[in-house]
Amino acid sequence: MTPAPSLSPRLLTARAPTRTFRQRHGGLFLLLAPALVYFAVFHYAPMVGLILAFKKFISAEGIFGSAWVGLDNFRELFTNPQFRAALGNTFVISALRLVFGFFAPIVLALMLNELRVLWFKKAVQTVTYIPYLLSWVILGGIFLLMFSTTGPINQAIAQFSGSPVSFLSNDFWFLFLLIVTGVWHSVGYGAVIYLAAIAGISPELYEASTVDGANRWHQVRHITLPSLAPTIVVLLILNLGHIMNAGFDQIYNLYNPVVYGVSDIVDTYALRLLMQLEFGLSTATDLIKSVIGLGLLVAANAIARRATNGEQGIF
Amino acid sequence: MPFQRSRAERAFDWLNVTVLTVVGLLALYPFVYVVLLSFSTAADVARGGLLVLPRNFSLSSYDMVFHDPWFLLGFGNSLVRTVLGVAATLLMTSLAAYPLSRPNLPWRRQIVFYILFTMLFSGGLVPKYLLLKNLGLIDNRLVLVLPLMLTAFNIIILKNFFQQIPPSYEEAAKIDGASDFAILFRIFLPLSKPALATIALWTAVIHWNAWFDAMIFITSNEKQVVQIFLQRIVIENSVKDMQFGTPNFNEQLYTPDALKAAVTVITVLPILAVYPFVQRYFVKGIQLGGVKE
Amino acid sequence: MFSASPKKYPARIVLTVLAALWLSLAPSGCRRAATPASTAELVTTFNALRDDPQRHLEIVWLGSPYAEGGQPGSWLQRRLEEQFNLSLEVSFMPVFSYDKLLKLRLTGGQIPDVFWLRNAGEVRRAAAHGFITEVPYETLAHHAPAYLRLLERHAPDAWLLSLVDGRNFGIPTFTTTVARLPQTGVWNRTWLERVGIKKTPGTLVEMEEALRRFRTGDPDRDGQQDTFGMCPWRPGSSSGSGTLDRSFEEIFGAFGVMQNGWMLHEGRVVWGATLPGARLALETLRRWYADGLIHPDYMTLPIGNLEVRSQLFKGKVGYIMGFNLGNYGVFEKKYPTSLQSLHQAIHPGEELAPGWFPIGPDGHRGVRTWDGSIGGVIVFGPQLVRAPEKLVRVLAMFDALARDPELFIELRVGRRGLHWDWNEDYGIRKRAPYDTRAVASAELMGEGITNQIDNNYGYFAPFSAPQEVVDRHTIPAARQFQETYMRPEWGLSDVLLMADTVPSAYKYLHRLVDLQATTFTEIIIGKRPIEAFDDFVVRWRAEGGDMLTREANELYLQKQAIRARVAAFLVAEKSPAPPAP
Repeated sequence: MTPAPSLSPRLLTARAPTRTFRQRHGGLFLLLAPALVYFAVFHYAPMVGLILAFKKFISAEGIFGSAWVGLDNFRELFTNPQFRAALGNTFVISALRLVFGFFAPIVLALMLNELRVLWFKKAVQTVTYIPYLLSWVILGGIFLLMFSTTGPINQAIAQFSGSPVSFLSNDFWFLFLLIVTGVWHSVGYGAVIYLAAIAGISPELYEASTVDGANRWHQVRHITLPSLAPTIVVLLILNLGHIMNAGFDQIYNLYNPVVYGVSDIVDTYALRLLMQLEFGLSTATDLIKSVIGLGLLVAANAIARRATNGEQGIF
Repeated sequence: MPFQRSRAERAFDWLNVTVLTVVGLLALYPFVYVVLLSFSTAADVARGGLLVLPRNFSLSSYDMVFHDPWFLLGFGNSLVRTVLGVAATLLMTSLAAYPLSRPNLPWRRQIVFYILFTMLFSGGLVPKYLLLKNLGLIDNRLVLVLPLMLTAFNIIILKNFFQQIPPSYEEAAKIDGASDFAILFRIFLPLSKPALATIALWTAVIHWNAWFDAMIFITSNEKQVVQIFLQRIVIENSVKDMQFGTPNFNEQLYTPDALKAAVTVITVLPILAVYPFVQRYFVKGIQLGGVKE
Repeated sequence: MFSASPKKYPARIVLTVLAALWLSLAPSGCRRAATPASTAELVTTFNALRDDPQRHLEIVWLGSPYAEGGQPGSWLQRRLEEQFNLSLEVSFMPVFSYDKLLKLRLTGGQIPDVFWLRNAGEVRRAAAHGFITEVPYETLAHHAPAYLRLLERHAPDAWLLSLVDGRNFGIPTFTTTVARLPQTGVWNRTWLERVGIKKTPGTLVEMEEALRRFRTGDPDRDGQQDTFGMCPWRPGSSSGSGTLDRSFEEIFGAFGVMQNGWMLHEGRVVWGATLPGARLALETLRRWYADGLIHPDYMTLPIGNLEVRSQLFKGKVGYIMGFNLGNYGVFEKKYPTSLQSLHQAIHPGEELAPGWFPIGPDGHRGVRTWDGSIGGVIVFGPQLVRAPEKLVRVLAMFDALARDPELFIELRVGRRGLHWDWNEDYGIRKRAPYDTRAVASAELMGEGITNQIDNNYGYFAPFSAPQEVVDRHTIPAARQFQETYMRPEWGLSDVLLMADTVPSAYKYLHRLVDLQATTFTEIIIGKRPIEAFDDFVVRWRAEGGDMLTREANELYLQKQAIRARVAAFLVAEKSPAPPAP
């Protein structure tokens, strides 16, 4: 790394000499270039398909030749009561998952962090991370068995209260089951990022605080959590962007007609309705999801920036 | 220096351990159940009532998988794809996250938005298929690696970690005339091992479990991944008509669940085995691996 | 901030570069929109040709996805190529990805010469997108009269599958046994005996009594009241394949109703679930569920045959509906993989017995049959209009297979003496090494170890052998069983063959079927009162049902017209008739 040849010692002069844009930022853009190209090729190029949401796509006519129908596809979706119900359900389920499922991994990470015995800590970490690796096809089958009215959970409940709980056919309990199993599924996996963040906190901070007489609770409140704050904010914003993905795999493998009313989400509805070559409607559905997600993400980001004076936030 | 814990703290410790033990067992049990099914005969699974241990221990499901001619090849393909995918992702994500973490980068917000937009908007399967076809990637091993190389999510997470590294490191390096490339590789990456380990883990899980892209974009058996073969094994051995019986007694006719369980165990174990290797990066203070100047 | 203004990197240049990149890579999926030829033009093109057997042709063939494990270069393929002077390019897509992969392939411009579509909805869509060419009735009558005669005999309504806006878009296929004969129920005879019932229940009242005793009489002798009467197929459509709800088919049948199908009622075509008989069936089921005669979790079980069967294996219920299971082979202990054998391996000494579906209070009985076709249409890519000799060759092939049963059998299950032999117990029985799945699939295109010539799963011959040929190759004991338990007149068929032959089905049908599944299930389990049925009918009509019913009635008339047309063309052809049965 040769220093810029013809310049006087930089730090000691009052006036910084001009460097070209290229010299100041060229290196950074060089590093950035592959990513920019990647996104252009693999993500933006196919986005031309989004036009289909506004067209009646006939393959023989091609994407650009097919008839333009404007907002007809959207109109058709929004006038359909089942779609509107599915949209509503998507919000409700996502909101519930966010409220209960967002903080669980943080709590788990903090608790794991407090363990002294290393082998136990590693063991629990590993074990809680297993559920995420099991697919909902398998888990669906297992939970359907476990939570059926004649299954083991209800047998245990029957000992205490006498009557079984219809987890699978009662609107409220089904949502309960979805949230609980959903959190269970992802909590260990989600905790990983927070463990990584905690690992990056300088131990000197903790040592210094101990000297000042802080107990562990204080340490968590005043060191760990504030250090985690940027990560938490970023993840919260990103999760809000994904709010329209309410867990298709899980719901598909667990639901049944009796609970369609509360558990049918946009994706499961689309699957049942749009299994044929109806490109326009399915693209329109995706577009609705994307726009809502983007809106929430931008809003959340703006709030984060405003609340922290431009410090936090993704962009 | 160890010091005396207060009573409250010890009580908390016990509570913590208890709660985490319960959580651990809850997380573990379904997997134990799956393992149990995998070592059972299909007849036992069909009869039901299994809890923790098999009624009759049986390796027949595993037998069926390991005797499939494509299994080993598929396993190798999955392994290669995962390793390549993780390497590519780590490299590309680092290259992208570093510039974006520098506050003085021109158009920084716009570029981040450019990337973020792709996380939420997608043209759909058909345009993607056509694109890959035009690029000649159909039935090419790279088709399993290239499209997944970068995600907005990973870039933003890593950028976030980079932003938390104290500016003094970078300034010190710049004084010595280091290029951006060098700063990234010699300073930021070593300091970000936990974040990199996390991204590596996430990427490995995604690649290892991915089957949809392989199903659509890979057409020749030699390049196909193990997930697809495993699905085929289950389907081919699942019940079709039992009209006139078959000469070979296929006990999977009871239920495919035993076989599915074996397939699941085979799928989960490798990726599970990776985790302990990654865990050592989550030890506190790892980043102070001596880049003090 | 930065001194040298970005003259060298103006935003404009960057954007232009990106735009150029985007446009060059952007997949437009563009093709010249060729105006499709009119019917008359097609007739001229296709009918003018005679098939020249000397001419060697190359055809790209994508057969039915049920040819699992099939591979190029198999015995079957070579035999076919040799017989009809062809070079075939075949490909195989696994069943679970077939629909997606086919859609991508077609959209990407790789349209096979000959391929297979599942049902009317798919044909309609493919036609709309320009993926398939029209094949006029006259052409089929001209080049494949023997096949059409078989079709007329076995599945005259199958034309509804390939009908789009008054034109015909392919060759419908037909099936014999599986589609024509209703399947029986499966009773646990040992349980019946244990609760004091001597003969298999025949009426609805008898069935209710039997189920009641299953619930209260501790038939599994374990001292606990942990058994239920019956377990139906899970309600709700199985997405993707479009299988419609078949839960409680035999109970609805006892009231003369087919839930998910079009029926003739007082001269008009109506949807089964809106008939008064459906309400009566629901009342009965509601009562049964409340009394524990029905497995309480029936609507939450994973979809499929296996789950229902496993309730039998687990000793939870004593009766299940047959579906694919209710036929001869299932109850025979001599077949090691029959349901009987499997059940007895778990519960030694317990015997399963077939049962007739219950006769209702008005003398109705029935379960679903398909009038000869469970779907499946052979279609042709539009490029064949410019290469009509290929289409003609394929039609000649179908005709030859229809005329010559021996050839048909050879091109379905292989050569007698080489691949299979006749066996008194099994019928067509594969010889080693073709009796292993791997070998049979590779050589015989996924016929595997099933020996069926009576369904439409054949890769190259996706239709059944004629009924009389099938009967000749059915062992006497099986025929006897069919006479006793599976009489075709006990089947209820959709007058329009399948629910989705109606043009607007794609728009409304699944929504309505969902509504139906939800409402009916909620009524049965007691979540809603029986009056909810009346609300359901009103809603059903308002949310598209009326439109569908109207179209159904028009289609019914159209179907008669098509049959007449085809018959007229056949007469005009004056081709020799195939050998009399």
